[in-house]
Amino acid sequence: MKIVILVFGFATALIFTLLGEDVKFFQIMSDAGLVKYSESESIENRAALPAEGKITGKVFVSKSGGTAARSAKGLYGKSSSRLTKSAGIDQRAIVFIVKAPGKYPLPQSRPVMRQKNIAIVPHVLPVLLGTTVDFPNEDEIYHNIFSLSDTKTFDLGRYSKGKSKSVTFNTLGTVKVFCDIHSQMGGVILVLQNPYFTTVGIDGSYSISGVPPGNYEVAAWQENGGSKIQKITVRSGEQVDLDFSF
Amino acid sequence: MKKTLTGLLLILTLAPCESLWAQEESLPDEFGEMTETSDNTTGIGGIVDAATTFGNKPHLNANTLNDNNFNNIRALLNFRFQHKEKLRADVEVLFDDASKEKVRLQGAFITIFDVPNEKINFMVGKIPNLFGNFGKREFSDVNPLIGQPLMRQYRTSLDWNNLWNNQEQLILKEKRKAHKGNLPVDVLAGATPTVYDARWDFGIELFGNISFVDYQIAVTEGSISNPDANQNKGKQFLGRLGFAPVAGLKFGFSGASNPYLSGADPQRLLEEGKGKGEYRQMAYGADLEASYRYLIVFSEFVKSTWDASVDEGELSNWSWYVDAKYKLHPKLYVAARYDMMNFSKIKDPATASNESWDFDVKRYEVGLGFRITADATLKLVEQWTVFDEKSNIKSVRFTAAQLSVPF
Repeated sequence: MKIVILVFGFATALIFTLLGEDVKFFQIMSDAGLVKYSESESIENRAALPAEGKITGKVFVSKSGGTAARSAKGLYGKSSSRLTKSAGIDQRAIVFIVKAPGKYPLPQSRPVMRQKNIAIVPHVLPVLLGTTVDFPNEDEIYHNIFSLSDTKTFDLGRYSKGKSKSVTFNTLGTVKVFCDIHSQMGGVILVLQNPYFTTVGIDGSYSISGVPPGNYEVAAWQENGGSKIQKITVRSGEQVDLDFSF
Repeated sequence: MKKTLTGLLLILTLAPCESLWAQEESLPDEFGEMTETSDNTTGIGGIVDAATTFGNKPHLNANTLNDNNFNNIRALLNFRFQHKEKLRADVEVLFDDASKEKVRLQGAFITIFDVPNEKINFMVGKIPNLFGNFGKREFSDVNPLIGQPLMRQYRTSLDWNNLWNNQEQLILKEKRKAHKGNLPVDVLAGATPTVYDARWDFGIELFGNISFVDYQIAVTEGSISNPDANQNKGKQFLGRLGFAPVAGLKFGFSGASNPYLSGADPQRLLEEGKGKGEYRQMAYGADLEASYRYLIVFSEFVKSTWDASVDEGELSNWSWYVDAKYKLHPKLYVAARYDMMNFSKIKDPATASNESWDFDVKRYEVGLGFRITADATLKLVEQWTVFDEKSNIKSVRFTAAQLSVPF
């Protein structure tokens, strides 16, 4: 009887885990009519579309604080001075077109998410669906990058300075990335449907150029603020000004 | 049965909660809810554990206040204030539903960094034990299993409150233990562990790192086996040198020395002309951490000697363990610990033969861990403690589950 109850407990935990992370972000993508690409879909077949318009604006964030780092684990007590001095977290927002018709070639060079100074750099990395991201370790110590996100679950294991591992992201959504050794390390990868995305500047300004004419939903995503979506129309040769506030 | 059901209910209640939290787009701070001004940061964080056991009682895992990693519900709450990167204040409170002190102050200390550079830092207050490398894994979300190593928790026949009159009494105590079935808690109450992590001690610590060498030196009131040994006016000196020559390999050496006796009136049991402060515990140890890819291995060795009025031999023990964790999948790992503690022999006046002053003991713990989120882990372990052939109790075995949820 006890074993049955225990198995039931594990099963309950498993079910709720499967219902876990990234639900809200993916809901936005689903609401916008997006469907996950299957692993087998040929990314190379995506043709580039004509690029004619431009979207510019500013993202205003009223509150800072909070990171993707995991929770503290008590005091730890030991000589943790180095662990309290990780680099500051860059929490700039990402602006992207939620859905743009067509299929797109992958970037020629792979995006990189580094493990540097006991931090994940960049903290937020937007990538095109199907992109392979490199995870080099540039610290003298071991790191162990992993994610339990439904969008992509992986664990790269421990590896030392100068070594790198890579992961390909074939499903739309957010991927929260952590280090299994250093709980203060965290990052987020946004896997997006099209290449019309950008990271806002330090002053909050952004610009997305080469956008084909059409009606779009444009989203701004900020780690603590979630997503804000606005509808716009891009016309050939014109610029659309679009601001977001969190 | 009632406690088992209570623990199970808590596990089932907390497991879905953690998953639901994970759906929120606002991710957790490094230290739970944090507020930040230009120079100052304050934060609250902690860990909630829910556990249940099947089979024998886990009494052999009890600490001196009857707090126990296998108790149904435990919570650790951490308050932190940090000023720039120069000063940090930490207060940690422990709740344990079955402890004699349900809520207690586990730690409270101030850390001053970079005095004058990162080679020298200070920690003062009620500070954690620096001996060896288990301190970090004292917390449930880092410990891949549930139990602690014998050297960190197992309570020997030696009594820090009431020093025996002679070794005959000590050996009698061992014999009494042998007849207590698997409920030795009452006999063990007050008995002395070897290196006690469960309760922190008041003192000051100097620490830092130079190249690949970490150092820690501390002076505290109690001893590593008895943080309460602050009534004997002795001071403990302890230190650790740690080396990390290459990524994935760390090892260190620790030593400690302090009078260990406490208690209201142990004077009557001391040797003539000797005070409490003249009975010292001396301990030295070595520790190792090695990791590669999905495997991490820890090991520690400790030899401890307690000054005592024995006719022949010395009152000492040595203990050793190795534990390993291997990740089979991002959400699933296996872990195991092999653990042993051996005791020195002293003369038994009743038989005139040499007898070990406590039963040699081994402990095995194997388990599975399922990661519900990046932090929360559900563990299922099997632990069995095996005594030497002199004991009437040959082994104590049980199964346990624990949900560890940091916040």
